[in-house]
Amino acid sequence: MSKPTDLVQGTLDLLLLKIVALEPLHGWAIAERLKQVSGDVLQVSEGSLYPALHKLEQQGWITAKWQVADTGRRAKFYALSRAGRHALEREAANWKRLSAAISRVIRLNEV
Amino acid sequence: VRLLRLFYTLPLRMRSLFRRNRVEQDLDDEFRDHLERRIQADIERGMTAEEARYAALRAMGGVEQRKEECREMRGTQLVDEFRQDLRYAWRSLVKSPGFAAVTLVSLALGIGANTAIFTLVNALLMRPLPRVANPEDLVRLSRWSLSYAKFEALQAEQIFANTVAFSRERLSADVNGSIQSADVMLVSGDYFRMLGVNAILGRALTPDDDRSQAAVAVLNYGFWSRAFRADPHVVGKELRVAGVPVTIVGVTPREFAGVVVGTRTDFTMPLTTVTLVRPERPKILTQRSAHWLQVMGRLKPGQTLESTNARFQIVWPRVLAASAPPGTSPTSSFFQEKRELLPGGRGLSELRATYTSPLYVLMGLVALVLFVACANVGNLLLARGEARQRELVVRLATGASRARLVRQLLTENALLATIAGLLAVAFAIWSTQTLVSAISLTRVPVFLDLRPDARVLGFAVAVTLTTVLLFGLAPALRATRIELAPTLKESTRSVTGAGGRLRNTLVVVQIALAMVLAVGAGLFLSSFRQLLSIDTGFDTTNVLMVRADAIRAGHRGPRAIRFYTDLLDRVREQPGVQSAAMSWAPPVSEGFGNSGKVLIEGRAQRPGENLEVFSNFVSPRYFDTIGQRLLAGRDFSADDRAGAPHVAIINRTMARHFFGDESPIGRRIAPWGGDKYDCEIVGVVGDATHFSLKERPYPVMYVPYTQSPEFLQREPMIVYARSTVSLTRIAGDIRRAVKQLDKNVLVETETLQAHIANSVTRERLLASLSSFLGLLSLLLVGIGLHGVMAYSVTRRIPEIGIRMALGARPAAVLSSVLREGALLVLAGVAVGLVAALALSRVVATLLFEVSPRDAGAFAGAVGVMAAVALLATIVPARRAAHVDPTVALRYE
Repeated sequence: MSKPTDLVQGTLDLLLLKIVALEPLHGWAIAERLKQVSGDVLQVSEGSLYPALHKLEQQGWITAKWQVADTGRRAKFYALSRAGRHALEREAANWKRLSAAISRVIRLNEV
Repeated sequence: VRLLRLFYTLPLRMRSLFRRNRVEQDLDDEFRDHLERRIQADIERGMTAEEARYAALRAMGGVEQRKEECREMRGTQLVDEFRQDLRYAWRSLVKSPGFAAVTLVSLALGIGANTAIFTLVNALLMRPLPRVANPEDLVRLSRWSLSYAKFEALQAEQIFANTVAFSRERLSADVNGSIQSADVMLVSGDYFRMLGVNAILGRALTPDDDRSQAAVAVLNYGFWSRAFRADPHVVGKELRVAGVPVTIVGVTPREFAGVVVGTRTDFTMPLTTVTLVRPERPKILTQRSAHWLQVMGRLKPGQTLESTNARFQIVWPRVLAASAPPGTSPTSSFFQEKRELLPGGRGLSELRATYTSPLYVLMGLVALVLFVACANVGNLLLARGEARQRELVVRLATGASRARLVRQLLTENALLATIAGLLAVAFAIWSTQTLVSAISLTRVPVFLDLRPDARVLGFAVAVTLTTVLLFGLAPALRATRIELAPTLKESTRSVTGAGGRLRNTLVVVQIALAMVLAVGAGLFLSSFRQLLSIDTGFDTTNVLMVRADAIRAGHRGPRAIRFYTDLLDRVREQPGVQSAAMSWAPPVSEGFGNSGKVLIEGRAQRPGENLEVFSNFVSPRYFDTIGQRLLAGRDFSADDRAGAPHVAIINRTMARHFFGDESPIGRRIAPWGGDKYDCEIVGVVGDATHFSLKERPYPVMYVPYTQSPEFLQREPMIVYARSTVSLTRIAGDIRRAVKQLDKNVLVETETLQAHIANSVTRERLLASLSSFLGLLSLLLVGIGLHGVMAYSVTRRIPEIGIRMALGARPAAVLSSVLREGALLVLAGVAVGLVAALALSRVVATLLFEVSPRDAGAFAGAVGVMAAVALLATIVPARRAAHVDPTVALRYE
């Protein structure tokens, strides 16, 4: 079972923002894309995906629209908003700083 | 960025709130879409449809739970619960319409009365002048008017940024051929600059207009709309004011109402044009004894009222010195005059002197009524809470938290209060209008802007919220403080002693408050009755007063006398007129005074004796017409004309004072400080109220108007007509007669009765409002007491049944219930009397010849309360006495 607790707090938001930043996607596609790009390393339980999306929508970082998908069915597509883009940049920078710091610490241990 | 986010999130929140079904549908669709895609993908991977379905649902980990998490993320849960509570509250109100009606009416009247009085307090006493720039920097001079010389001297001292003088005049104005009376504001040059008010059309008045005595006028918005139908091309048009052509140069903004609160101005003209529009006072600008101006100023930047006042105290003696009439002795009281600066941001108003303390007293009374209403509603809610105990217990038992239940009960109360608040605002808007017309006099109409502003609405909301907490919180907390198990086990007849005590306390408080109100009403009523029962010394019925101002229309001296003599003849010719006459001062005329020393031939004056008597100037048949009794001698006749020997009629007080028991007829006097005994007393009349109903009789002498001193020939006369037919019809006829004589003369008619009633407006207002509020609170007390007693009887039915089965007679049961009620009433009355005794001193200054501890008012209040209490208890008591023991016991 891969619960979102596997992810560092807040990183799920970052991942979701990044994924919808590339192109607007619906929930199922977001879950699939997440698995695909992370090489199945990052698995988000489908159950916790939606509350996270709804939270981001409520925060105004992503917008949702019902559209007809490729298969001809209606689906709810999520896209990044302008505020979301700012948030993404901020979160990404944070993450880079954090991971760089962690890498440095780990390398220190190896010496 | 924050704002940007709001741009996205606000519509979402709104959607979550108002389009809930849509949101729920979306949520369903989204999850279904996801599950279907997953199932399809798994089937493609080789699972059976059944397996795929289970896998999908498992991966989701509880669809409903996830949905709930999504809803939570949307933050709508609290709102949802609130909506639930609201719906529930609405249903339960609709289910008990009696409860809802009593509660709503009590609260709406309570809150509404408070809002109404506050609207008046706000409009008259609190509101800064509308549309005026920085009203807090305006100051005014204390006490009465200034002469033009004083104003000029003060202005020259330059202690203000702007110094402004103004005077209100009622003048005749010819607008498109119809002559009407207009309320005109005459203002010095800096008026509009000081107020920071610009014209919305044309221009405002400037110092140049004042310097050059330009016959120009700036219309007030209301007058522009009324008289010119808001004509956009009004600038440049002409208006005739008191016969003088005046050019319209502008229109002021709609909200701007000038600086005199409670009045309406039609247009504003330069101060110096006073000699054009009041030609009868040609020297008013130079005459140093003419005090006719109000003065205001704007503080210089950086100055405070205190610093400017300090400066003012230094320059004021210089102002007096520069403006003293020539020959004023340096020790004269002229130089003793003390003034100070007062805040002027709220403008000036003569109404304030009369109505400030009554309004605050009324504010207190309506607050008491609101408390009575709150106690009532609190009681009703307690009873309801007890009736609903089982419902609440069940909800508690099935897991509702106590906070949640309190919130729900408070929501119900908030709903009640909100509806009541809305009703209250409607009631307030209606009743303030009525109140203002009650203090409006025929000749001095009161104009107050009563549109509820932010302060009034804030007040209404604050009162409503306080009310919710006051009547709602305690019962809600009580109702939810329940022991689960015992209540569930017990039957409905369970008795909660604490609840009963709280209810009894509320009733006692209610009775006590109502007692205070009833005593107050009693005091104001007997004060008003005292005023009305005064013997005015004349007969007010069927007399019409006609004010026709010939002086302002240009008739002066002998011409004025001729005009009035002609008018009197015409009035006498009108069908239905029994007799007609004229006088200079009307009976009961606050403000009219003409007093002077009188010497009597052959009578030595006592040292230090007061020789001042008041004079009035009347036509023949005056006493006859207004019904003042002629005690001795004769009335004036047409022969007592100018040039004939001077004659006078004196009143009883004057006769007593100067002649004791001797007859004054035929004695000669030297009136108005003169020393020639050239005036003969020809008659004595009874005392009639001269200034106000509240006075002792003054010595008054009456002189034929044709023989009155020169200066009085500049004053208009009042015509009286005693009639056998309707006064309204006579009024129309007389108006026409005046217009036939001279169409430029302004006429106002009023019945003598109305004129006298106007002089006691304040007392009438207090008496009628306090009685209304007293009755209202008695009604509320009646409802409250009845509720408590009925409830108590219902609870005691089994007990009463047993007692009757054991042989108690109905009469005994009846008296036991009555005794229970009487105990509550006695406690309430006792507390109320003590409170009333302590509080009644506050209103002492508003009472006329009634002690604030008037035994009658107190006894009356106790009597009325006893009657209400008996009425409220007798019904439940009779029900108790008619309990059928068998039914009651089976009920068990």
